[in-house]
Amino acid sequence: MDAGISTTGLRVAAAVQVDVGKLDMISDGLIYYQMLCFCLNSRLAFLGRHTPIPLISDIHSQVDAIILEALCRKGTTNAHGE
Amino acid sequence: MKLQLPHFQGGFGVTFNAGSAISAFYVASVSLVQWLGFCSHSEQNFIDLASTWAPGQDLANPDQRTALILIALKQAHHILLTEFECHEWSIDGPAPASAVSQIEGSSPNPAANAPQSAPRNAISPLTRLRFTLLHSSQTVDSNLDGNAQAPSVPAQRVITAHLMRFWPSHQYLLGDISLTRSE
Repeated sequence: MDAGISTTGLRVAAAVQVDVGKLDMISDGLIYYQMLCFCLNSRLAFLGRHTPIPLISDIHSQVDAIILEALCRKGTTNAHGE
Repeated sequence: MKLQLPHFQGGFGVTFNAGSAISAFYVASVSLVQWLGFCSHSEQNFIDLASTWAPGQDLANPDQRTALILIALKQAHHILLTEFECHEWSIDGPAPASAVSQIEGSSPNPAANAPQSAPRNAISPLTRLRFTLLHSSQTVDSNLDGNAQAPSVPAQRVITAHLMRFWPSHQYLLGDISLTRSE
């Protein structure tokens, strides 16, 4: 069961990573932010609400890093991290 | 990071999952424990929820909880106590008179609830029911005298906002950003 939960979490994280790339075409920064904040960042919410934290905390951190990296990259016009 | 701070603290409000997961899991699990505690044992068996969610557990006996979900709930409770300045309320030691305002103090406008003499950016503690009393909150309320009332479980957004103020990576920011606009 624990393995199943972790697998599901990893699958969602991978999907978030793919979908973040799809948002690159959005030129309006506010819309981009709202899509990331309310559509992608919240995708693990239900899973996190019903999953013991030790099983999924790494996956949460991974998704957080993806979201923040995307925001920083867009906000700095791809200059972030250079 | 500033991106992760709530709007009222000058951030962009991207509540990160590693933080919100603690409050979400805690609130959702406590709500279920409280509801199951409100049901009689026969009712729990009838709806079969307790046996599905936490098989073989006696919710009335916190010392013998071995189901993963209940152990995780206990860990989350412990984390909130030790790392995020939450306080336990117990029936033996009545809640302070300001217990309710302490919870409200974690609302998006803490300055409105704080005493005038409080430091500008003082953080109010969050009072919650003792872990061993979670399943019997209905009984606790009925045993209290007069107008006394046990604190209810704070909303998820209240706990999340409280966590954000104590989150380690936010500490260096909270001392630097201006909260003037939100106050």
